[in-house]
Amino acid sequence: MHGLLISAYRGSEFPPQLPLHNNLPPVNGAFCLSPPARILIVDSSAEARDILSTLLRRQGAETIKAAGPSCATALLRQKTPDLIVFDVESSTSSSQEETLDLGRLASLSDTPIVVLGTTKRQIGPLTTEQFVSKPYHYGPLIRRIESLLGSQPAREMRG
Amino acid sequence: MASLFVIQGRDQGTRFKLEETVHTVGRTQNNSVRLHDTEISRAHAEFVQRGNNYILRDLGSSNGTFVNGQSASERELVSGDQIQLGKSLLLYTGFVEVSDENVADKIDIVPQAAQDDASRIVAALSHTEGSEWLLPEASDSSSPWIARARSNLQIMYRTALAVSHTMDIDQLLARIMEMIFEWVDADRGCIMLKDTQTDALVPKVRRHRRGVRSDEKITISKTILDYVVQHNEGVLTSDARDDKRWDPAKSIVKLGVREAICVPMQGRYNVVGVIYIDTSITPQRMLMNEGKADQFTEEHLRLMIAIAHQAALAVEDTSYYKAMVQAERLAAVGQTIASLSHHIKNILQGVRGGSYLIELGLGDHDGVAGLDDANDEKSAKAVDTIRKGWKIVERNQQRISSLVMDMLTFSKERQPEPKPSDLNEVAGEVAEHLQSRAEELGVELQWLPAQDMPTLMFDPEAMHSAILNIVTNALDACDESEHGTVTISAAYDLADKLARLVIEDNGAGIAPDQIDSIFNVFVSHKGGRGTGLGLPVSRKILEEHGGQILVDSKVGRGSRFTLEFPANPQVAVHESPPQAGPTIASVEPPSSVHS
Repeated sequence: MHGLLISAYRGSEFPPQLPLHNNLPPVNGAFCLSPPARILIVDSSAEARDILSTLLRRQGAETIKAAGPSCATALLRQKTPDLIVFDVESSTSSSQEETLDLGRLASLSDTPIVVLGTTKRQIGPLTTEQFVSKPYHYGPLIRRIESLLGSQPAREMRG
Repeated sequence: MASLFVIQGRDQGTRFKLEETVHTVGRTQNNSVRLHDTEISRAHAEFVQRGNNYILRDLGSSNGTFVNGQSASERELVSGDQIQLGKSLLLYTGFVEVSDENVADKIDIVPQAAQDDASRIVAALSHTEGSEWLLPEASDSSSPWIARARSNLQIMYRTALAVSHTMDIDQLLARIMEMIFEWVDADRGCIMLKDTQTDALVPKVRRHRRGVRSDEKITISKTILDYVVQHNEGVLTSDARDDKRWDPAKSIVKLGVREAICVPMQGRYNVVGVIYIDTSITPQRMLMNEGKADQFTEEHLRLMIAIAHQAALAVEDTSYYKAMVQAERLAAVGQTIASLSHHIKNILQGVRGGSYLIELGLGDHDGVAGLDDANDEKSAKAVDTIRKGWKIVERNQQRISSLVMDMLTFSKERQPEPKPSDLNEVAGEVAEHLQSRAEELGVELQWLPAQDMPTLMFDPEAMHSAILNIVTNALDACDESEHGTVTISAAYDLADKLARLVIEDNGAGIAPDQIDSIFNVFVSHKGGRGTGLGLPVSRKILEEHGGQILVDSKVGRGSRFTLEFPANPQVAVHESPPQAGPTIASVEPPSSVHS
């Protein structure tokens, strides 16, 4: 999928009987992909990873976490997530090289990235880029992720 | 713009701006320059503008008008002229021409002396030695020119006082250069000011005596400039050969000798710049002087140092200099604000996350409320979500609190409030406080209290903060380690009367090039977690107690932070006073007492 997509996702019309993840009942089950959407969260703050992961899993997604771009690149290769959420402001200790590697691999694999925060560093080239400035509100962020996922072509079954 | 500054008399300190074509001087109100002096006539004199300057004209006053001690009925004024009217003495400063040539082009600072420049330092004097020259000596056997120069220096000083209010920096420097040329037989001169941010010397004003070639660049050795600025000493240099035997034949071939004086402008706190003057002694002059090349002497050096000091004080008073210092301060403030807002933004993000979870959890809870018991599990899950969110909000609230406390501690000139306290107890509290965090991070936290820790006078709250910051850092340093261990140990050195606390970790360690900067404010090597205030605050607290923090660290091995402060053992409060007389033994009451 190319280009920016900002379509607001209003409510859900899906039946509530979706597989429960981590025992958290999804409120509107908007991430209803089968298999469930897999999201890679990249943030150096454990707390931030935890919050976003909890919220996404609540919505029915599967999450994997990385503390920085170098771990993220490895996970991207192994786990082929459907979307990456990358907090650039928190990754000040990592290098430009590591950031570019992640961006390149995401672009090659056609994985959309939501970039949180601002940075002078280059991340591109990316296929679908969504920049969210910090501090952000979680509600709109989740919706933005949903819409990005919703517009993705169905992924092949993962091993 | 010209002005008059009253330096003696009842109106001393008053400054009058001269902007109009005519200004009248007298003791009554209708005068534009009104002086409260009974010996001044009602309409005493007037200042009439001509071009850039003013002409002083006496209006038939009773007691007359004097300029520089001489009676004057009409006189074109020159900057620095002293006007006596009645009992009042006024200083006139006029418009000074400033050349707008690009000064920097005409001055070269060379890192090493050029091949043919054999200049070396002949004499060097510090600023205090130079200023001594200003004090009159008991047996004043100095030459007439010195006496004249000394009196001119008084004018210089007064001018400096006056000019700091009226002139801008370029006019001030031009005026100083002008005065230097009045007293010293220099051929060329320049004044350079130090840029507060880059520390580089920037040429500001340059002057040459009439008849001297002005297009020639002034070459100044960087070595000499560095020496002058760093050692805060004035230098006299000469490129004359040391060869005492004078060969007239050779002198004709030589272009002459160049002597120079370079002095630091020492202000109240710092060196604000340098003044450089030089003179070229032609072969003819040397022959006339019988081969002696001493145009500049140590007396000249002393005078220049004294002048430079006064000039520096005047420079510091100018708005230009103040603006430069202010810009530096603002830059520091800007950086502080940027750093703080970054930390606060992260904390805000945490609060938002926690709040959002609480909101969702509450929604879930409302959704299942009132339904049958089968939904108890859902209800419990909802509460879990709320609890999770709340914990995050609380943690961030704690972070804000710590940040604010750190900022306050750092900014206040706080005097510690010492109380008789137990260091074992205080450090023990820190260990307890951080136990859960250590577990979270998978780090082992060991606390080894001192065997014999006397009661000491120190501020327990402040010391708690200081220790907390260091231990927190130690724990964070071990985050990535396999078997992270942090050990806190306390001791009291009876011999040195020093309380000592050692915090050792086997974490990442600190690189040698970073060790110096870890105590700098807002420098954090902890990624997003550190506020950059922890270590500076801890050091401040230890220093307030007369102590210090020592750091020993190796990358990959770990770090050791030693907090120590001097303290005398206090007599414990509960110690009972020695008793006189027989001790009273406690006696069991006979068991048959009860009736």
